[in-house]
Amino acid sequence: MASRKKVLLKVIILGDSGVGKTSLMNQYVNKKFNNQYKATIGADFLTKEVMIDDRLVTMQIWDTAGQERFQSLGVAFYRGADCCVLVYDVTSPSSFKNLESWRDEFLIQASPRDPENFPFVVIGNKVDLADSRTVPTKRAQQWCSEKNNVPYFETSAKEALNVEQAFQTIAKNALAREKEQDTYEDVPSIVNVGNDQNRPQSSSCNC
Amino acid sequence: MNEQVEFEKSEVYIHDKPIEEDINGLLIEPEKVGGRLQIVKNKYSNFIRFLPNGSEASAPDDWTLVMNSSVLSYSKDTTNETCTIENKKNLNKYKYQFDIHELSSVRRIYQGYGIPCIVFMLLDGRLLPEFYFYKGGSKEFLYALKEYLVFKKDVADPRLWSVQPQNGEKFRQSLYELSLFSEQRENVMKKFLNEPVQSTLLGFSKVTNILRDVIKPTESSSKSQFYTQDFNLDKQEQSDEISDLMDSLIDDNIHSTQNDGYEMVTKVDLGPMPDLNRGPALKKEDIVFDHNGKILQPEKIKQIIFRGGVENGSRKFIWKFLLNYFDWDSTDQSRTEKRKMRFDDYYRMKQQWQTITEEQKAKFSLLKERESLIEKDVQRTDRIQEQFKMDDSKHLIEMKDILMTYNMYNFDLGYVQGMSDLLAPIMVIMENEVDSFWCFAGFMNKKELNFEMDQLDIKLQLNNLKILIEFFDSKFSDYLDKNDSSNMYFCFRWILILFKREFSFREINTLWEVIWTDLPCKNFHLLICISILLMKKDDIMSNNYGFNEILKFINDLSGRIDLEKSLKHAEGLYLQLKNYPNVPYNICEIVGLSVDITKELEQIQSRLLSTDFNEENKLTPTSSFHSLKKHDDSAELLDHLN
Repeated sequence: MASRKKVLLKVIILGDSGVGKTSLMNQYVNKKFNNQYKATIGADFLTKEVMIDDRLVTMQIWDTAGQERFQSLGVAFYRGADCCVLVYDVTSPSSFKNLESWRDEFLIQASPRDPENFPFVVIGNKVDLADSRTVPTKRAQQWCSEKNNVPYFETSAKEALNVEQAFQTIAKNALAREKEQDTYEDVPSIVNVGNDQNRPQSSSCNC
Repeated sequence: MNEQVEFEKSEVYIHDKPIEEDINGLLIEPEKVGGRLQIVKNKYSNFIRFLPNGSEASAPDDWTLVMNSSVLSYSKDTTNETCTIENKKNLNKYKYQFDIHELSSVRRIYQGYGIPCIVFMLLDGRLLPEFYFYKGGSKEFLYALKEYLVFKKDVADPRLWSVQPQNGEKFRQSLYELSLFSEQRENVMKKFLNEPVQSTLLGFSKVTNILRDVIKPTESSSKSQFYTQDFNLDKQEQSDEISDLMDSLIDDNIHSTQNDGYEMVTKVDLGPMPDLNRGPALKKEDIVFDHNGKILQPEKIKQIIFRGGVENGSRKFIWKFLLNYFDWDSTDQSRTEKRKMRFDDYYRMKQQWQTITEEQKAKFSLLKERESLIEKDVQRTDRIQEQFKMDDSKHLIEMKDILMTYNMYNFDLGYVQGMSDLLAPIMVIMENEVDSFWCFAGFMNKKELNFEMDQLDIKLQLNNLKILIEFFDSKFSDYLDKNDSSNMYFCFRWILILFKREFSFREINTLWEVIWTDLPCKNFHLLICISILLMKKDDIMSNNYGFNEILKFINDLSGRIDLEKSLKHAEGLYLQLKNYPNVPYNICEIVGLSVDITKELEQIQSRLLSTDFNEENKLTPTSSFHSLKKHDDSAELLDHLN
């Protein structure tokens, strides 16, 4: 039986600079949009209480800096994540292309247990800018299906389109993960020195 | 027998199978192999060894150095070789031994059951199985290891301790060059200035060890010999008195904490915080020129700025000096010439990127990428400021142009987020594109390392911040350690963009001016961080904030920090340091306080030589005692000295 203790779900939002990570978080938590959010320096988080399947959970949503060089300090935040949200901008092909490395980077730095089944959610943001859209839905869907069927959402943080739905799924998947993990406080992790290109290994072995 | 077990921890276990979860979510008890984890010394080197219970009978000398989880690391030349292997086959699988110098890093974690566990990684990348310390003692083991190796705690992951490579040789050398008890002292200062902090600390720690060994003789004959010959002490009793005295000094008066593999032993009674006043801002009338237009007494002007900032009307002029646009000894004429040159230079560089065609850009993805990043950030930098408010403001275009031109000027660094934050206040003061650019470039010259790809300098600054906290408030420092916050990451934003997001535009002008004077010491911005943290630490500690909450709390301080108070307090901290006689060397290094090491060492030596052992007061801790770390090669050193 799952206990009814208070659950905290840690969600990390990653993606290139300017894809709308801060905006998505603020739209979801505060129902606000502002197109002049400052570039995130370092990291910050917001919390929101939500009901998932009759269960009250607190989501702690982490917003991080999008520029690559700041990722080396990210490990402190990735630890203990229950779900990772990968965001790209549907008007920016490079931000879509970089999802792969964001995913890899997360798995390396967070070293989650059972990385193959770690819950990711992909968000294509800024669909309100339909005229300048360059990444077709199909392409994104295909990528997601290749990655062990990662759930995919297209949102507009500006127009509050689909944001709620995306985060519902994020919360659900994070909670499922949490339940699974309940008894683990700290997961085994591989020391990964200087070889970032390596795909993270599963910590379990067959010896 | 040619080897000696120097440290041993029993009741250590390897799990045969990794901890697994069954369908009901319960943990399956893993197969455990119990044994002893040892540090062993033979004539060649030191080894870390795991000895499963019941396998100890074999001849230890013959163990191979390298192991592999599936290969036996076992001996050959005992007579009952086959028999032994046969009998102990299963257990031998779990024997591990490797040379201590093969160790790359150690990670100490808590596994599923909350059992402390140590993971060794070797230089070739291999991982040993996790060693579980069922009865505790993992920390003790790590401390024992620190006697042999120099570790550095990872800034981002406090559980990870990396072995610092090759330092052993360096330290030994630097210690010889210290010439503690010989005549060549002139090299000492130079050596210390050239050596990084760590080797300095270690050098000192060795000094301390020599002193301790001298005072507290061990079984080592060479040490005893040294001790009787050079100090003419031949009675055990006397030495015991001294060692008791040493111990009492260390135990009672000196606070001890651990950081980065060094044991910091500091006694901090800095006295009361000096009562300081800030002064009035620099006025136009304060700036006096000679007949050529050269500024008189620039040092005095910097002093005024340090105390009170600059009046808004004089900023446009004086910032150009603070940001090395003009030299302080420039004349009217040289400034006019320089400015003209600067204009030409700027427009030449601006043209470089402006003349790139779309076609060319399509094949120049790096430039395109940077341009897009700059455009995004310009749209969201200080838009509440009057100058940047309107979407069609010419200042937004200017900002982009300056950042794009800076990208051409310093293409290796390029554009990094945070730069636009540093630029905006300068633009507001300068009201001119070219002047803004060069002042920004001057600012970037000071802060460039913050934006480097490897982020090493930021990590170093965060680390220095922790060292300072440890010195000024060891209790708060301990609190941060216990709450996973010893990486000081929550100060990242403060440091990266020099508090830009923490204060109002008006205040940031003053704060930056103060910092740009480079007064009163190196890294004054770190003392400002400390000052703010010390003012807020009670909130953090009384609310029992952990890593997440501390970060949130610090982020949310934005706009609520008293600048004048922080500056006063930071200056007070500096003065306390300056007036404190025994500032640890690493602190001196951080803030750039000079230390006369030669004098210090002479003092220690003369104190030792003339110590009257009945007078307790003569042995007071000096800065050399602030860092203690035991080393076994002091005996070697003594041989060398003898």
